[in-house]
Amino acid sequence: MAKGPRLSSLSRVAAPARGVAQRFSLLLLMAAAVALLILGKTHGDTIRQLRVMAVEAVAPILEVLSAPVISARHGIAEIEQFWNTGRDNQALREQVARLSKWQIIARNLERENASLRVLLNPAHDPAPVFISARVIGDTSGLFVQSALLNAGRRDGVERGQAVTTGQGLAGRVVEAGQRSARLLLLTDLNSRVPVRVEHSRHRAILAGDNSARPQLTFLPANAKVNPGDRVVTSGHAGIFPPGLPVGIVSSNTDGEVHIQPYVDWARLEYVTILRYRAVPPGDIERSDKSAASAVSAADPADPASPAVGTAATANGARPATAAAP
Amino acid sequence: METSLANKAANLARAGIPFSISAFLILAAMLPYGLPKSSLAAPVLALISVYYWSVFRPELMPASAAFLLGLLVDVLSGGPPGLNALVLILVHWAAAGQRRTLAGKSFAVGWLGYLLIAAGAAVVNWFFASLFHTTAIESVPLVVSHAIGTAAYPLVALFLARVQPLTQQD
Repeated sequence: MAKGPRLSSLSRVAAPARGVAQRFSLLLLMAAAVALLILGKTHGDTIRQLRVMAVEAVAPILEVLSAPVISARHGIAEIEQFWNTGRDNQALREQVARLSKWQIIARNLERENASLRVLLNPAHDPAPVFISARVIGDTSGLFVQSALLNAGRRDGVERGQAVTTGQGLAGRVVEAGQRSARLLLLTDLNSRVPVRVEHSRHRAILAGDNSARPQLTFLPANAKVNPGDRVVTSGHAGIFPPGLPVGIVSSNTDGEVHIQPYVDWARLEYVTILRYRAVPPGDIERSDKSAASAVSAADPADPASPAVGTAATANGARPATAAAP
Repeated sequence: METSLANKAANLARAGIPFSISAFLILAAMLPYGLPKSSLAAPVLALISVYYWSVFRPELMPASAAFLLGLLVDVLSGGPPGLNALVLILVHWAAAGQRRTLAGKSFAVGWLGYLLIAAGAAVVNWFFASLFHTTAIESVPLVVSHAIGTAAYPLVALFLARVQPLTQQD
């Protein structure tokens, strides 16, 4: 092309050597890529840590680039709102009329619940701490459904935490860097969430299958599930708080139950990460030990046992204190 | 002396354009537009860009650049690490190897070349993804993404052809 004469004569001499070097580097790079694939399979945790570091480096760029995109989306949403004002107003009026009836019912139930709780003295679920984050990257690929968030370990984000929007559960944190985190969506192939069908109280595991409608698996054989049933988190495994709305049953064909998540994936802009632990780490072992000592000493008045024992039950562990006489 | 230094800096910047523009396309595709499946454009854009530069300016899109771009897609998407890196190296190798056949001919030849090489890339992608997950993964999404990539090629190639004169060295 537009190269000087000096360069072209040089390249004529160096061409064969360069050809060999190029072929060698090509093979080397291919080997490196294959090695990465193998390492990803055998040393998944190390590769994940490296990936978190790499994402950390790119996250600030994504954060800057995504800001105007979010602004544009807000602008479009505002125009949409303006056009729909009349219809929205009508719909909201009807909703207010309907919900004010519910408000009366809810207030009565709240009062009743509070007085019954005083009588029963049940263990309280710890209140989750909320961390707000912005979605800075939509990184879903052909086989992975995920998003990048602009909050990380310095904000208190950790692996495994539940991520919700105002509408319902969106997924969980699978990678947490210092300033960024990766959210694995409910719909991902690797997503498993312990849930409960709200009406019948049947437990199940919500398994993503890369489609828009994840599937309810491990439902009891006798479970009756109908389209329209609400599905909420069960709180088993102790990672997600119980009762978070997840979605509604969209279809039930021959026992294959699919869920339509509440989250509108097209409007995934801001999310809330829940810092929640049903039992603080290390507490279960302690309660096991205290239960063992309680059993051996036959002393039911162990100060730590009652509350921890109930929490452990809720956590899916064996009810330790129940064994104590 | 000063001008030659400035020239060198300018040339270096120009040489970096193919890599930078490819990286930018990947990042831009992964912004949260709120459109369903919009992020699937990232690997497709990377493929088109690596193919284009490997054919028309192979010296500015070496195998190492293709490798890094693939790694960027892998890191951001959270998919099998090294998969896109491997695919893009092979695309670079195939496109640069066939550049005598592909470059300087009509636009249709370049497009046909993309169709064939990207199809090979999809097969490699499917094979190694299946190996990684130790299960035959669904091939339909790959076929669809290949079709979309082929359909989008003229638009992206037109854009890259506009950028190409900027890479001309002094």
